[in-house]
Amino acid sequence: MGKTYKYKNLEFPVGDSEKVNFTVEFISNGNDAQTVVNVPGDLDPEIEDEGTEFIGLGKHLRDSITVVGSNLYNPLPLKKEDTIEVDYKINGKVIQKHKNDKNVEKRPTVYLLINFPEK
Amino acid sequence: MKLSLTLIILSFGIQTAFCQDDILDMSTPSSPASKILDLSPSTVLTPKSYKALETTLFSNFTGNSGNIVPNDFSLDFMPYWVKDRGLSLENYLRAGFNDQFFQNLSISVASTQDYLLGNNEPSDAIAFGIRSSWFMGNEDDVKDINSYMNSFDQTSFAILNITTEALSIITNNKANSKSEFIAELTPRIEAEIEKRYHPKEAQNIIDKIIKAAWDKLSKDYSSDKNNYDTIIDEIVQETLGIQETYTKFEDYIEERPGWYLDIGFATLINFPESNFESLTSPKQSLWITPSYQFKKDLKFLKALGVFRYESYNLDFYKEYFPDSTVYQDNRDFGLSVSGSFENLSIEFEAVRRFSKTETLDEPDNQGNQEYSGTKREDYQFLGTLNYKINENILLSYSLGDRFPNLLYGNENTLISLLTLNFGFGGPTKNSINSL
Repeated sequence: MGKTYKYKNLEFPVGDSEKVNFTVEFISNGNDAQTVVNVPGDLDPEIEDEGTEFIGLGKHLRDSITVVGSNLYNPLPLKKEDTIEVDYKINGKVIQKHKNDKNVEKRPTVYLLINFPEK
Repeated sequence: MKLSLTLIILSFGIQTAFCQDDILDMSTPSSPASKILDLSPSTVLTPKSYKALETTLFSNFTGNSGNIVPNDFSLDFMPYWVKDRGLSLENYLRAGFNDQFFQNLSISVASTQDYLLGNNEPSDAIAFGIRSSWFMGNEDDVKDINSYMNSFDQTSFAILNITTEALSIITNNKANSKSEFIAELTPRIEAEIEKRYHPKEAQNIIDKIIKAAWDKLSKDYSSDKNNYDTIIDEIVQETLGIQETYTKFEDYIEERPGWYLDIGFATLINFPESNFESLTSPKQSLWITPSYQFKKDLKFLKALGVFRYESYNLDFYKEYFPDSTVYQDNRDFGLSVSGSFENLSIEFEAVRRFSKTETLDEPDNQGNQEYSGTKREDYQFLGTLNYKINENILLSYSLGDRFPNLLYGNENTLISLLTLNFGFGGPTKNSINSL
């Protein structure tokens, strides 16, 4: 099992009617990723590799902490890529950068615990 | 123990008796620059940025000794990977011909202050090399890669949906006890597994996960709940066998079945008089090695062809290696086949070398320019048998006939080498070369 990186107490103020989009963006090369955003309800948005998904309106995200889980994997030889670096964004703004040395872990799991307080 | 000692002694005796040099490496060298210098550096520097490259070159090529050629220096630089491009694994594995050229392009630099001339005097030498390689994609490979990627996605999304739900239950205080936690999580486990797995196996997987949760989660929810998500993650990963999928995938991409092509070039620059005026380029080498990794039932087999061209500067060798016979153009054509069967691996290779020199003669009576040439053909063949006694001990025997070393006048060509290797890895061409 790979090393887990947990980023807690993240905050992103949003308006009640504001649409919230979550983005995964690769920075380093050779990454493979699956990301799930646990939102209220049974259907959690999923992102394969990179991309952006609508995760809900501000007022629907306010009542609980949103948990994002991301499995990253980088099997490239170290001489080609020695780092895993991924940006997590909400509405285009970086909420968390993740970076780790592949010597430490080439298959990390990243969790983001995000609050969406009123703007 | 007695047997081991006997074999070590035997190995040492044979190595001493049939001291080897210049066994041709079939594959394109990973560092063409080090290869053309016959350098086995203790460390290969691999700077990952232009700044690191600059620092490496500056710190090694300047010094207080006055000698600007560093000793035992080897650098390998892959310019494509200097920049963060956000290239996904999928796009990397499906790169086209041009992209693969740049992705696999490496520039090598090597130098030594101990390049021996014919009179055994050391001299400064530096070499530059370039190398790239291609994997020629095929339909089966596309299918296999798709299958692995799809497997990662399905398994990983199932794990994440369950673990983020577990973390959400804990973080948002949706449970007050172990039983409430499992009850709250169970619908998500069922939904994810039923969605992604065949009904015949889904119920079995669900039962296994829930049973393991009951067995492994501690009873004291209030004090141990912060470990619950990690334990659930471990249980789901283990039950869905994701680690095995990653291991199989890594084995697959290391030796993807299909055609490969490796190309390398290197040039040697020598300073025989230890000054810039004496700079000369005695030798250039070009390697072209196509290879084929067999698939499915024959995946234990690999075939490799080689074309190597070496060009020697005769003026240099006449002056600094006056007693040697050096041919201007040397072309090697060879074939190697290797197979691995559990603890046993066998490799056989054969190479034919065509050497020639054309010299300009004095014009004849009518002023016509004439050339005279000398030619030579040599063969090399080598069979190697490796047997892995256990994880750390490898017994290896090589038998064959190598090229004569014309540069140093060594016509002894027999190879008969028995080695017992302790530790990691078996005997390589380099280890044979170094004997």
